[in-house]
Amino acid sequence: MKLLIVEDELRLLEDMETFMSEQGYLCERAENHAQAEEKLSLYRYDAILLDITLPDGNGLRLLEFVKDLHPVTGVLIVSAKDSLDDKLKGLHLGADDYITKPFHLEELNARISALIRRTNYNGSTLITVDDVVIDTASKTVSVGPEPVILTKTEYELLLYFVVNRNRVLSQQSIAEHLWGDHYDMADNHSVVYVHTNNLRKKIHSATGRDYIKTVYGMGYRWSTP
Amino acid sequence: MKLLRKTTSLYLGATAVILCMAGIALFFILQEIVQDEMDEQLELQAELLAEQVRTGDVPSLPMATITELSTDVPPATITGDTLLYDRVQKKKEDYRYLSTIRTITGRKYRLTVVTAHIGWDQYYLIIFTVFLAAVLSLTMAGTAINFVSSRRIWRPFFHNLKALKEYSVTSSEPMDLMDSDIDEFRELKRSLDQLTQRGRREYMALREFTENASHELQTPLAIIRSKIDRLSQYPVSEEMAEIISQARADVSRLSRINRNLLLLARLDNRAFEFTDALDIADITHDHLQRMQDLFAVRDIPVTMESSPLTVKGNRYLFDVLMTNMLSNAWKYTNDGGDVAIAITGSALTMSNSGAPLDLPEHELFDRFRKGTMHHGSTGLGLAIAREICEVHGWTIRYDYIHGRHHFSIDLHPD
Repeated sequence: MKLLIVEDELRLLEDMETFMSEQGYLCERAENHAQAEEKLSLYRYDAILLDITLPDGNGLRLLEFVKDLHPVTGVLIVSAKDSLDDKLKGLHLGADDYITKPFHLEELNARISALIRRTNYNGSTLITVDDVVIDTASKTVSVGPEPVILTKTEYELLLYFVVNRNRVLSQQSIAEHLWGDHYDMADNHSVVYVHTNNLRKKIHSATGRDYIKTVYGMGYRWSTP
Repeated sequence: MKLLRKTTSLYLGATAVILCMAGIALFFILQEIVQDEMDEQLELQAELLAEQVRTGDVPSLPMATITELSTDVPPATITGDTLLYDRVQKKKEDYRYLSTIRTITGRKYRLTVVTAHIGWDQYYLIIFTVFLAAVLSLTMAGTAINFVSSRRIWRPFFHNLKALKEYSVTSSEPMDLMDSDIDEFRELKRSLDQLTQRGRREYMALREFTENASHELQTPLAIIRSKIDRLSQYPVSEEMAEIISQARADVSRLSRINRNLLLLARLDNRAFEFTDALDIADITHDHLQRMQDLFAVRDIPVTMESSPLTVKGNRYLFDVLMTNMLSNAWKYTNDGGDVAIAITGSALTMSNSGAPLDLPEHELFDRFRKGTMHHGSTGLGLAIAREICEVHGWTIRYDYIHGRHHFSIDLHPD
């Protein structure tokens, strides 16, 4: 999977690049409008991570450029503006999703993964991790022939874990993924704990294995033994 | 005291003093002139009397007396006032007399002539009445003139005063000021125009600054957050894990505060349209659905009773309002307590059991005011809720009744 990251803030670009490379993506970077345009006319990408506030031009014009050239390429807009107008404008111009700074890298990963699943029509809707099979089309989970019955929240949580497997997920990251970060829940982690624990029990009883580990003081991790 | 009344009373006071003084002066001058005239007349009578004595005629002047004196009395003339008994009216009356000692044909006589003070009392009364009438007329004329001028001349002033009272620097409407042909009022209007324009300009600059500052902060926050996320992937000691976790919690808080400030700036900006039809019960139900996990974890039952209600508004802002109100209820409901939502008539009421406020009630909706229980919260949730109600023209009120916090929003459906 090839990914183009367009971001003018170098330190953030490095983090995104490192992280997405660790997740198995082939990453290329562009630090400004000109570089991005050049790369886009030369290569094809499965997905583009686009910061719309670039120093040498509005990212929305770049979005139009991409959609003209390769209409099927998925575009995730990264913006410092949490403004509905920008979001609607971006989505109207053909962006597939919109994420507001500051974000968790795992959230970015989950969004990219979902975006690629959506735009890649020929691809499989099945995600298989260890013994667990997730069908993202029907939103069902099974282990071998046996279905695992999960609540909506648990399903979302499982997908989040699996997409970011082998990575420590903080409670904030999980809470914001599941309920958004507008709830202002301060440091209440009991909600995350309860749902993670329920999911862990269900996965454990279905597979006989404890994939979800608690990382002391940090959060949780899906670790393949 | 109103300026009009103040100037009028000063003016009338001065008028009264001047008229009193003029009245007193007039009285004395008149008295002097009349007295001089009377004395002249008395002298003439005395002369006539002396003439009659000289010629041996019988004195014919009424009430005149002639007394013969011894020859060694020096000649002298005195005038004065006296009281004489009036036999007809049976009372004493004021008289002016002149008494002169003359030598007539070698003999000394005291000749005394008198004349009546004809009704000095009446002079007093007439002067007093005339001046009182003048004072009253001036008062009435002054009041009438002021009444007319307050309606005509002062109209621009009161109009502009009203406009100033209603003016808000946050409003994009220019102030509706009235011109006047009075220099002072024209000057005032010009100054007000300049003041409000300057205030508006500075307010706009500040608002833009807030919005820009919040935007600029988002990127460094994103970097800090991604660095912390990366850091937490490495094996760390428990102590370090604790530190990283705390840092992350505060980055989250900072990011929420920043996002809320940005929203407040945009609310001040009135950068929203209110054209969505909001099905209040439906949207509230969606929010409860989304938050049921959170309430379930705290074992807080949420009940909702609703009647159909649709109002015009902004969907995004209403979502934020519901989120803020529900997370407020979630945070401040006591253990074992409950939350009740009711949509009745045009009102959306949300109540939850819980301990009384630990801050003054009137500060509840202020920015950065929060109860001591939740250090992690941004303290902006209810401030935003109030602003959202304000931009929609809704009212929000808070009451604490029988151990329950009540928030009522009146949605004024069209």
